[in-house]
Amino acid sequence: MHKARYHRPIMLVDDSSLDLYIHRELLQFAGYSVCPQSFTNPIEGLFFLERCDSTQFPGLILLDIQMPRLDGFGFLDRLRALDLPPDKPLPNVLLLSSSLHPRDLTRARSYPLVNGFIRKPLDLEELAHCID
Amino acid sequence: MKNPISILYVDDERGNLTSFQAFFRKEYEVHTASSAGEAMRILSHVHVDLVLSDQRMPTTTGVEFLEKVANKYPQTTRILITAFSDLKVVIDAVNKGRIARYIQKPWDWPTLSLTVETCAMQHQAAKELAQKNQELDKLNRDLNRFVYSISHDLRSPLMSVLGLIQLHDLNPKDHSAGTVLKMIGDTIHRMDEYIHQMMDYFLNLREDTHYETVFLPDLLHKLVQDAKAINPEAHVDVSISGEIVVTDPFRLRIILVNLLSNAFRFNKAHVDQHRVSVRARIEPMALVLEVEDNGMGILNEHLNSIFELFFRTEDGMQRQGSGLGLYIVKEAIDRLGGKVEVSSNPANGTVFSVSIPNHA
Repeated sequence: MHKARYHRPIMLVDDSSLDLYIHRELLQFAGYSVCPQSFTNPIEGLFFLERCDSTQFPGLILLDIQMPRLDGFGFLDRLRALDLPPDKPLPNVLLLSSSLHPRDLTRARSYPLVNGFIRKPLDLEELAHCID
Repeated sequence: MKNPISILYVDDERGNLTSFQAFFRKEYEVHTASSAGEAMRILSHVHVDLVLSDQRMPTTTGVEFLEKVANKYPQTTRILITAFSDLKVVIDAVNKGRIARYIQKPWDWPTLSLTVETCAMQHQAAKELAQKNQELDKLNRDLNRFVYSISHDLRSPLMSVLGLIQLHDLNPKDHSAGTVLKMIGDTIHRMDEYIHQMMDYFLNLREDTHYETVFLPDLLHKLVQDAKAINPEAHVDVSISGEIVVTDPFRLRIILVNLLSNAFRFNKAHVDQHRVSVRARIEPMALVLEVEDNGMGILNEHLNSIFELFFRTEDGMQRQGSGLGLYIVKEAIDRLGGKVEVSSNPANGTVFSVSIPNHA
């Protein structure tokens, strides 16, 4: 069993609260630190990033791609446009999806913040490979 | 039965307009104008299929007028009427006015009538073809979205199930087989519902409407019972006036199943008692249904989108919709020639009001 070496808080954004639950449990079990709040609504996630103080600010966001109304890419666009203070540097993003569409893969490459693309179900080894 | 084709006839001789009107008005919707200007005004207000114009008019010639019409209303079928057999006029009429027929003045009624009839038939055929193409286009777009969404929507619950199994494998102490199985069961039920909705979607698209006598109290009580399983604690009351309605039972079921399951599913957190109220009234000409709940309601900004394909909002794990339900409801109601209205807000909940024809 893999043990986490990445220790900054991880924030979860996914329209499926079942998946949020599964991911939170998995990550915590592996020893990662997960932000207490996770978001089924990406807009609320962005609000949180703007308002929270630097100690709560995540180092990484696990972001679902297919969400209604504001999808993962829409979230990334707004995330990049946030005016954040220096003690809250833009977090890295791992994209999550249950179906890897080639179009989505190509699109993800145009976002420097994105440092990985993981297919559900979330695999801890694969996650570690992307972030540790 | 009156032909659905409408005709505009333009001639500066009033007598011609009157006799044309008298001759054709029984069969077609006929508009007349004594000048090109007046004709253009009519065209901007009413839908016209066939435009017939006299060539010799004081300010604008028939060819000039038909050229304008061809550019602005290309879907019209145009016919020039003239007493002159000036070749230049005919060539311009064909090339610039893109006319379908050319009629010699003075006309005789059988020839004129035959020409109009032929043009009307061709025009109608073209119209139907365009409409069919539009329908095909919509179907194609829907199919494309379906493929994209289905690849996600069908895989996504399966991946959640795998995730739950993984959770149990790694940490059986905190995630016992019992709790994990319960969640897997719920996920599978949702997926099953999604698949049923997809089947309903396609059946509704393809099956012709077919009317039967339906004993409404039995059907409604059964469907309410089924839907209550989604939220067994909910309080529900059903009132029905009348018993027999003649409608398409398949589409009536689609409408009821989806409205009821939404009413039970989208309850508001922190409300003591979730309430669903179903009212059905059979009238001589219509079946009027109201499904009301005191649930989470629909934000004003979403009210216009709820009937769109794959529209959904993000929410809790048991509640997220497939984005198909209300779309199918709307399509089914449209097929029956009925109408649906919704009034909703997050404070009070939602009321769907449906009226579909009763063919009794």
